[in-house]
Amino acid sequence: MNGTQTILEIDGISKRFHGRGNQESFLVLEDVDIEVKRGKITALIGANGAGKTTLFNVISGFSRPDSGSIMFYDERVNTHNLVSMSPHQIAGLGIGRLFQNLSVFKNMSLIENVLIGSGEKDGEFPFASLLKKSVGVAEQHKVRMAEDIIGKVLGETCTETGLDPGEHQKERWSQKFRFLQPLDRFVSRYERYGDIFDTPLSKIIKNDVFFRDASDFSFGQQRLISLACLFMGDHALLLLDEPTAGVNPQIVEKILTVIRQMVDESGISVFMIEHNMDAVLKIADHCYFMDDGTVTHFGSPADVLGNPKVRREYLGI
Amino acid sequence: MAYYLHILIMINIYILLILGMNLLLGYTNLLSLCHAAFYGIGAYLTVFALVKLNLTFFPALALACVGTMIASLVISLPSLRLHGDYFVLVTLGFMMVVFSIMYNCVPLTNGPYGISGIPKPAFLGLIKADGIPGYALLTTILSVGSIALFKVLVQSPFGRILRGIRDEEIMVESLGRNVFFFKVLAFAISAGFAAVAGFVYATYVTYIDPTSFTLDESIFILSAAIIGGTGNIIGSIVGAIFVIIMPEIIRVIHIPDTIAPNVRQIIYGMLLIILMYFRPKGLLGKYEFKE
Ligand SMILES: Nc1ncnc2c1ncn2[C@@H]1O[C@H](COP(=O)(O)OP(=O)(O)O)[C@@H](O)[C@H]1O
Ligand SMILES: [Mg+2]
Repeated sequence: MNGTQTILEIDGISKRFHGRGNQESFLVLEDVDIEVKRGKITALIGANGAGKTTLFNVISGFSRPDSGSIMFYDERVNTHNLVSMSPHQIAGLGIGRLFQNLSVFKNMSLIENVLIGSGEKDGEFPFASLLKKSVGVAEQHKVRMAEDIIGKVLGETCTETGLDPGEHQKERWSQKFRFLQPLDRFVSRYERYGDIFDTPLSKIIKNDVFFRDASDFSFGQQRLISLACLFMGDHALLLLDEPTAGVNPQIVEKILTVIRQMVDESGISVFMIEHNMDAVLKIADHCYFMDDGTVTHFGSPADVLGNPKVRREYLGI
Repeated sequence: MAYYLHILIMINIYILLILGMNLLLGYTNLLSLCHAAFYGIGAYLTVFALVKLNLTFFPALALACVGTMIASLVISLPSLRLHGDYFVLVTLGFMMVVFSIMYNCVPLTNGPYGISGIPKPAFLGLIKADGIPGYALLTTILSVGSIALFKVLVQSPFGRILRGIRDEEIMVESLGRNVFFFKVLAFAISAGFAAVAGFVYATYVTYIDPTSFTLDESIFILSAAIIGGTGNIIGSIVGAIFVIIMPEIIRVIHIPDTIAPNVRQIIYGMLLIILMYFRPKGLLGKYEFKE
């Protein structure tokens, strides 16, 4: 196949789940063929249980298919068959993933949630920062980049929502052990200033949104945080599993804008599972419809969504 | 005076032990029941280095540390791919095996009789024959140094990856990091901290036997880490101070010696239950322990 236009080529992927006990085993994916074009947004739609997330798990190496191949063409047009690789190796090729049910590292601050997305692995060896001065410099550079990205991706949503500090903590606290609260304040102050290298950030440290635990943010904001984390890395292809599900309309808009921006500015290719049909029509270039583990329709979003069979089976109209 | 210095020394030793436990529990979300095994391996290696090899302070410390870290691979390489409960069980098994070797392998460890007369190596001329003030200073230097190292470690990109693993292992993997590799490193470093504690303990008390390195001790260190709080440094320090000072307080309020250990156990137990219920992140911790 021609590697310059295609970034990911899924060819004849089948996957059977073996039922436990007396449950029957069943084919979740049956001979799936999909092509993801470079620099484009490809949408994957289909009813719940159709096997979309399973397909993503197979692509990113968390699940082994029974047959078929998945070819990834990197920028230098080297070909990699992802089927035999482990998740971190696949990610190392520049394939990022947003999970359907996971967004953030809950007990880590906003800024750290973004920093961890950096593809720069130098300096991650224990005590590397003591041995090499360059690690600190690289870290400062990362922090600046993360600040930028947070501004771009979360920007206005942070101020408008007005975070409620530590909602989850407050509940348990409120009645009992109130007398220990000053301890918490002490600890968080002690940490906030220690938790990060000496960087430009320390000047705007008053902006403590950066140091809030990710779990303090709303669900929609958490989805944005994980996009920011992906933005931080050096990705060629993003697999986004329902990025807008369960998010309020304002943030849906923001998420779509960010995805579009990533594609336009950095030439990233996107393969996304999406239930929001308006969103698909708005940003996708190609669309695949999956029913019961097989791809039954594909083409432009308008064509696929306009197809009478898709409308009947999926949209119920 | 010597009494207070003794308490300071014990606090310092426990800071080392609890920091190591914290690295696993509060930063990597790994629950280990064999911390005392590494404490013991560190102590016995120290004796070996000082008595059999006649090494001086730093080479002996280095040997104890590196040897213990290598020993940690014996368990981490085969078992860290296992998840949650399985890993806990494997560490339990390892703890029992190591204890059994220390107890039964008389030619190597002198078994239950222990080893006495462990020499105190000279450290920059600090340690005199009577020992206690010099040791208080030495252990303080070691524990402050370890705290500083720990701080560097957990605030560095390495620490960030560990905390990522703690929160969402799968996401770290999908960001291109080999989670297994990072866990093995964390486990080895944690064992290294325990080895430093073993070194200090062996040379301070100048006598070791297997009863100091039991499963009970592992659980004790684990509870101290949880009580103080994990996921930050100050929690570990508070945990160490708490578990060393509390028995002394019990002594001061004249609880008879015969029941004092039981009272202590009851207090720890109650405290763990109360904390788990009302404050799962421990007295001063950052990370809420979930599993
Ligand atoms: N690990 C698993 N073991 C067995 N069955 C699974 C497993 N994961 C998913 N399934 C089943 O496979 C089908 C497809 O699931 P999934 O890929 O999550 O669907 P989608 O993302 O399209 O909603 C569902 O019927 C689901 O219950
Ligand atoms: Mg799904």
